[in-house]
Amino acid sequence: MRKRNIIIGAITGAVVVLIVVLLVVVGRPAPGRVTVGCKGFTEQLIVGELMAQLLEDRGFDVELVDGLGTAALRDGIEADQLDVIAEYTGTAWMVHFGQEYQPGVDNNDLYELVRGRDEPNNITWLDPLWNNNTYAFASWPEFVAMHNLSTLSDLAELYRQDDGKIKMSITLEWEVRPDGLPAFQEHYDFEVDPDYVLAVEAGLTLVALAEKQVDVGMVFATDSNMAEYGLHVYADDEAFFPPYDMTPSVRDEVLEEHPGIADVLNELVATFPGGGQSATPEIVAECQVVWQELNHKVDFEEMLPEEVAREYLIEHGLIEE
Amino acid sequence: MIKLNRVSKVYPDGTQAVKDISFEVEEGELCVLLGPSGCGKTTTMKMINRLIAVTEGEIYIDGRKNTELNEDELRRNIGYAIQDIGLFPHMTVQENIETVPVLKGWPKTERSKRAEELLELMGMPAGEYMNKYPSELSGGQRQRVGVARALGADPPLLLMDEPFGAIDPITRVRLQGEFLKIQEVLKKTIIFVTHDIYEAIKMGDKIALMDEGRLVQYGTPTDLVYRPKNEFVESFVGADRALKGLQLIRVKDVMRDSPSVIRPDEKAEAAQARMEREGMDWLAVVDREGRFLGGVSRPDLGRKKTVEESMSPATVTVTVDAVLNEAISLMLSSGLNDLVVVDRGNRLMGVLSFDAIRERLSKIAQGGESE
Amino acid sequence: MEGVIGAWRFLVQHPERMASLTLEHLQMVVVACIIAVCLGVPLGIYIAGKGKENTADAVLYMAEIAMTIPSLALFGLLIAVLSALRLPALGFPPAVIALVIYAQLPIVRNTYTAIRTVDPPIIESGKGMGMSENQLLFKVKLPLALPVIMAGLRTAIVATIAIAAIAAFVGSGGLGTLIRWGLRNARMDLIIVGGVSVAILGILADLLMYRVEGWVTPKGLKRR
Repeated sequence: MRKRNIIIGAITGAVVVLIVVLLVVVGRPAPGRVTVGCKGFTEQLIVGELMAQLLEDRGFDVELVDGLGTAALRDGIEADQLDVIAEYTGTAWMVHFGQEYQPGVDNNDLYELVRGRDEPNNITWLDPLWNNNTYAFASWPEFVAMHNLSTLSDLAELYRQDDGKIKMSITLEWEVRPDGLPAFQEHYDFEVDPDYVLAVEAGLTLVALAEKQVDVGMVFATDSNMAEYGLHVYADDEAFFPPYDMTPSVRDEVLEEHPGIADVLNELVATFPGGGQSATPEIVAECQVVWQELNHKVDFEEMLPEEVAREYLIEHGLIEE
Repeated sequence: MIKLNRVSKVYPDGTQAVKDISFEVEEGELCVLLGPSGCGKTTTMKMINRLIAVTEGEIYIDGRKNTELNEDELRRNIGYAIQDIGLFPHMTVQENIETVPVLKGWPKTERSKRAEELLELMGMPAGEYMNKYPSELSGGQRQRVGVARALGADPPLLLMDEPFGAIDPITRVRLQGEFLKIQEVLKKTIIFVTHDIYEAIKMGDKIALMDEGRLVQYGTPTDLVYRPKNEFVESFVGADRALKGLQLIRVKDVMRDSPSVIRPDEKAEAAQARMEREGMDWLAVVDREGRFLGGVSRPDLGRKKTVEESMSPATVTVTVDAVLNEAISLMLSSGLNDLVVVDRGNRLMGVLSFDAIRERLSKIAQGGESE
Repeated sequence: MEGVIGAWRFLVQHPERMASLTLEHLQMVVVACIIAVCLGVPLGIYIAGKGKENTADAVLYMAEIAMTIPSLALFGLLIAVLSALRLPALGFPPAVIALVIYAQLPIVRNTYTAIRTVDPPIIESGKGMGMSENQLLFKVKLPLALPVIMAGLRTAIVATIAIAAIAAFVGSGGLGTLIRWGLRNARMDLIIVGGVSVAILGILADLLMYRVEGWVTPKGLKRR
């Protein structure tokens, strides 16, 4: 009886050791290696590739971890498992730092707030991309023409007239967040009938609109769908939505070890409209268009993110062919 | 060869399965553990190979306590066959039979030879059966393979727990007979558990009759049938025990010598003269080789010339090896009180009378003779 | 319909991408299942032993509970735990650990049941003939239990293939990344090519394992 237990115990022990070794060896970042992390959608995949390819070209040993969720991305850099990421200022402020956004705080202000806020965490926010991939709402042109709409205020007025009974698609988490739908209705002074709200996973808000299951759909400013389908995006004339400017951030420890990284990444940002300068509404609009075009190459021109990134870096003289 | 000394088994919850049992089994004997359900016979058997631990008392095998050896070692030298057989379904017949030889490290050629021998012994042609799987065998065949497996490493001792219990009655009788023949050849020491009195009487050299954990009577089948110790034994053997006991005695043990014989070609007068001289009413007619042809009695003679013409041809005879039930059955069905006894070649051996049988039985009951 | 065409086009235009994602997916599944078997089968054997009924109940109960934990929650929890332990918390490790946990129930339970339900006379005759516990285990119980254990592994593999698709958000790669990507960017082509690939993988694995089950079933036990 004892012999059998010993054998089973030995096997289990060997396997546990195997697992630990596997985890430690497989996952441990190689010394000197720079780990770039990005999320799993088009824009993030492109920026991840841009940063990774450029850094590698400049002589760094780079590993790219893509497909991460927002929480995983943040946990990763906080746990020293990621070295370089490009997070959105708005996301950092509201989700990671749990702060409230006061309407009226513009791109520059929010960037400064976020940068200062992460300093004690030993994470440095470098020069931002003023691409402002924020939330927006869109409708089909016929709908817009029929009701003579242009801005969100116009839309709010229509809701007031129609007793809130116009179908709207929004993302799941935006529905319940206090700075989400409730704050939005308060800000624009209208109410949407709860039965007319369709809350779904991010990209499906657009699918709902495209399939005409709703009249008003939530979209993301730099997605290329709207332009491709000819959708009308309502202007946020009362400035409710916070800015979401993608900004490369690096762990201080890594900056100390590789001081050149900051320059390389800022060099990348400088090739975009307003890179390295303060934001103005014109700069933001221009930058949004650039990113829409980059996204369009992946989502509608059948290119892969790494191909788009490489093309961009070559075109802008950052790397040689 | 096996000795149980004051063996008891008490379970943790207080149940006393076996109470203070002692008996001995000689080498080459088949000892039947007999009794009603729950009497402790299987428990007793399992204490011999230590599948169940003894609470009190000792068990000796060939003079040594069975606790001396490591239990697995012990069991490899004791054949084990149970009612549900338990053949390994994922192994062939050959592999099943070779189980213990493999455990003991026998080389391959020796093992195969042994498996073939045993299958032949069981009456199952090796070529046909070695590579079959248990699922392809009938119940009787599986049972035989089970016995072959128990004999695999040629153990001196065999434990069998109702090995023929799950077989249909017709096949069972046949297997019992075959097994007895095999035992005549192998002469193993066997402990055989059953609840069937008929099986016990037929198979056993000794019977240990148990009830509620105690050993009630230990003796030969004749002892239990003709000299039952108490009412329990009497009723267990059955009210028809006299009939049951008949199978213990053979014709040759009770028959009288050959009666006077005469040849068929002799004259009738000669026959008559013989009868008068010897004071017999009847003569057996045999040929030159001694084969029984028929009988001739006084009334038959007279008109005919030769014996042959006067005789009544042989109709009912009983063989010398037969057990008495057969003889009694023949007597009852033919209406005869006396039967002519012949051997297998039909040669005259003697005469068996009903009175002789009765006389013998009463002598046994008085404890005079054994069978 | 457009989505289906788009899916086909994506597959055809970026075959290396599909291949590398499929490989990543399979790596997770294979490593996780191997570890799950190395842990689960001995565990199943252990709790099937005499007198271990209480332990068996506890273990099986825990494995069942583990199955009900939403995978998103488990992955998130693992990231927190692993990073607290200063172990790699993104990518392969947390994915594989979660998959090993999910694969335990079918493997442990099938092993346990298969060994427990070996016909008692078979066990008794084996012991009576002098087999040690080890010999009984390896010569009799395991060969007889193998088909059912394989069936458990088959269930585990198919389930793992599906759950691995969810692991994408911890950076493990695999076909799930296409599905997540498609959901966020409203790309039906990616959703379809990812989803269908996972489904096909599951079906193929199931068929393959069915064959393997047949191979390992001892001849004497096959249904005829």
